Amino acid sequence: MRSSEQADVVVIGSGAGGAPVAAVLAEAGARVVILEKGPYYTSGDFIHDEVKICRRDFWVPYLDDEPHTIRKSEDEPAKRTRSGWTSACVGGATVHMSGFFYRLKPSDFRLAEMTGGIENAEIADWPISIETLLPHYDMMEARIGVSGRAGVNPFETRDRPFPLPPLRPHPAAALFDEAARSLGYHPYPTPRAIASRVFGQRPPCNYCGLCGDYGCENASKSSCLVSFIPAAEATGRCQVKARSMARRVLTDESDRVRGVEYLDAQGKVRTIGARVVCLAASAVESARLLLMSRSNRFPHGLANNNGLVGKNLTFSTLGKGTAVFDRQALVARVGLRGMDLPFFQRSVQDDYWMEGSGLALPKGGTYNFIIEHPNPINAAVRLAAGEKWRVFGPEFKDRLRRHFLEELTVEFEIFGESLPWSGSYVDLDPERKDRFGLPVARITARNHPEADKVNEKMLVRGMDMLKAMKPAAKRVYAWTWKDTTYHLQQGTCRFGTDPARSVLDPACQAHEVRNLYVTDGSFMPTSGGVPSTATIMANSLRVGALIRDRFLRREV
Amino acid sequence: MNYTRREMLIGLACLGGSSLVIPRIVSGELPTPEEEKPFGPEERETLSAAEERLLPGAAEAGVPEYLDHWLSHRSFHPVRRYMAHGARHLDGTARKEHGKPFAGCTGEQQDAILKTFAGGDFKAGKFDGSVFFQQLMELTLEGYLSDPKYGGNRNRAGWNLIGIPDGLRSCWWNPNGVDMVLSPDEGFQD
Repeated sequence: MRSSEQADVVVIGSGAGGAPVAAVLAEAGARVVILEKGPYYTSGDFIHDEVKICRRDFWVPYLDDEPHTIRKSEDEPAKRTRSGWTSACVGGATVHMSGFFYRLKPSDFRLAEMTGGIENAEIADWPISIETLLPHYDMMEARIGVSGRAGVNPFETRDRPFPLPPLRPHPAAALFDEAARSLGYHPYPTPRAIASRVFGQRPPCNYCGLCGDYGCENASKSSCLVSFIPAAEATGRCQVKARSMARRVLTDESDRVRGVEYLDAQGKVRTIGARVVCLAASAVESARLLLMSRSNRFPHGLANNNGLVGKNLTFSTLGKGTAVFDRQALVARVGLRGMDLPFFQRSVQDDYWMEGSGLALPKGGTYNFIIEHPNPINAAVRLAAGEKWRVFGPEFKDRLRRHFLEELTVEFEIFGESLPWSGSYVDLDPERKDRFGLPVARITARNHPEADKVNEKMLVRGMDMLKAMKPAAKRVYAWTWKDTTYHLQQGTCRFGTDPARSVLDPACQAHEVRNLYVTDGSFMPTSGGVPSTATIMANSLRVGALIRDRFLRREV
Repeated sequence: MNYTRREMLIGLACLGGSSLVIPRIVSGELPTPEEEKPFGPEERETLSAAEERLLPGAAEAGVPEYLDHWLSHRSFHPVRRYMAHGARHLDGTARKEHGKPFAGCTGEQQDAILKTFAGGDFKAGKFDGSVFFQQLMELTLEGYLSDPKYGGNRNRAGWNLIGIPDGLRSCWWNPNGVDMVLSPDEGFQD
C-alpha cells in the first residue's frame, strides 16, 4: 500500500474514548496519530460567553455544513439537526462536560439476566463483569484526577479512596442530607472529574461553577485536553492532527485494517497507513464512519456483514426536578457562610435497582442534585417558560431580579437506563450530504415505553426528596422530555462473544475486521444508570492495555 | 402522581445550556454581519416596541441592536423572516383593533395584543403567534443578559439587575471567608 504517512496506531477522535487508548499505546512505545475533526483549543481559549458557547452551540458543527438528521419513527421525514453531535475539538466532549464521574454497578452488566428480558427490547448482557473494569476505573481516576469520598455511598463499586477529596458543597446540602435521610435515602458527595486540590501541574478548582457547557480556563476540570492528550504528546510518539476528519477506514484482502483516508485541515484527501485503528468518534459518528467505509467484502459497511452497526443506539433517560428556595430562609438555617458556592455535590443511588416496584424494568439510576447552572440567559428563559410565557413586563423583570438575588434553585437530574430496541438506531441518510459530500448520520430515536415508566417513577421520588427539605421550597417543578435526549450516546457497535449478535468482541475489536477497535461509547450493549463518560475512559484504558499486549506479543 | 399538573413542564431541554425555540444554528465562529440591517424601519419599530413591553428597559439596554447583530447573520435568516412576519402581524392586529400601528398603541393595548399572541390565540397560515412570542422573548432576554460585545446589555443593565455586575464570574469571589483549600475529610458530614 502506498501511503504518504504511516503510524502504528491511528486513533479517530480525541475524547473520552480516543485519548486514553492513545496515551497508553504511545507510552508503550507505539507511534500514534490522532485524527480529530475539530480544532485544538487550549485553556486560554475558553471564555464565559453564554451566547457564543451555550446558545449557539459552540462545540458542534454548523448546521448548514454538517447536520445530522433526526426522526422519532420511520413514518416521519428526518429533519436536519445539530443534536447527536457531542463535540468537535481536541479532547472531545470531556472539554465541556460537567464531569459527573460515576462508575457502573454490577446490575448494569447483567440487565438481561436480572430482568429476564423485556418485550421489544434488545437487552444483552455484557461479556465482561464489573471486576474486569474496576482496576481501569482506579487507573483512570488516578491519571486524570477525580474528586469524591469513598465509603459513604452504600451502593458504590470501589474499594479504594478517591485520589482527591470531594469539592466543597453548598451549605444547603446539609439540609438536603437531613431530608433525604429522613426518607431513608443515602446521599453522598458526587464524584467529579474536577481537581479539588492541586493535581500534578493543574491548579485546584476556583469554584466559578461554569463546568457544564464551558471549557475550563483554569485547567481544573479533568478533561482529556489536560490529562491524556498532553500525556500522549509528552512521549514524543503521539501526533494530534486537528481539523482532520476521517472519512473511510481502509482494509486489505484478508480483512485486516490497513489505514485511514481522511481530509486534512485544507480539505485535501490524505491516506495514513496503520497496523491498528481505534475508532472513537462518538457512538453516532463511529457508526456513520463504518457505514461509509464500504467495499466489495463489506457492501453494507465495514464490520457490518451482520447488519448490527448503528443498531441499539442508547442515550440516557433524563428527568429533572427543580425547587426554588427563599435565600433568606436558607440563611436562617445554615448561615451566610458559603451561600455563593456553586456546587451542591449530592447524589443518591438508592433507586438504582427498585426491587418490588412492579415495573418490567426495575432498573432506576442516579439522582444528581445540583444548584441551578449559573447561566443567566438560560435561567431567565426557564423562568419565562415556567410561567408558560404568560408573565412579561415589569412583573417578569421583578421576578427575574428576585430569582437571582433572593432565591436559590436546587435541582436534580436523573441518569437512567435507556433501553436498546428497534426504535432507536443510526444509519446513513439516503439524501442529505455534508459539506464534504458525505452522507450524514440519520438518527431514529424514541424511548422504549418501559424506560419512560421508570423515569417517571424516579421523577416523583426525586421530587419527594426536594419537597422534604426544610425550609420548604417556594415553588417546585418537574420537567420531563417528551422525546429521548441526545446528550450521552452508547450502543451502536455493541460488544459480545457471539459474532452473529454483536459487532465487537469482548476486547472491543471488530469480529469481522482484524485490528479494528472501537473505544468510544459504541461498545456498550446497555446504557447503564450513570453518565457513561467515566466508563468510556476506563474501558479505553482497558482496550489500550490489550492492544499493547498484542504488540508486545508481535501479533500486530 | 403526587405533583400537580401545573408543576409538570414538558418538552424543555435544559441541561444548563441551550434552547429549543431558537434554532441552534450558528457555529463557533462569530457572525459577520451583512451590510443591510435585518429589518425595515417599520418592522424594527414594531419589534422594539414589543421588546420594551416584554422587558421594560430593553431599548435602552440595546436589545434592538443585539437583534440587528445576530439576525443579520445568514444562519439566522429563518428566524429573521419569522420575526418580520410577527412584526407585520402585530401591526396588522393593532391597525384592525385600534386603527394605529402597534408602536403607536398604548402600553395596555400592546400588552393585550402580545397576550393574544403568547396564549396561542393568533395563528395565520403557518405562522403561530405563540412561537413568535417565545422567540422574541428569548432573543430579548439574550439581548438583555448577554456579553455587551454583541450590542445588548448596554452599561451592563441586565447584569446589574441580577447582581452580577461583572458578568459570569471567572472564580468564586468568596465574600464570606470560606477556606478554599480542603482538608481530606471535608466536603461531607456523616
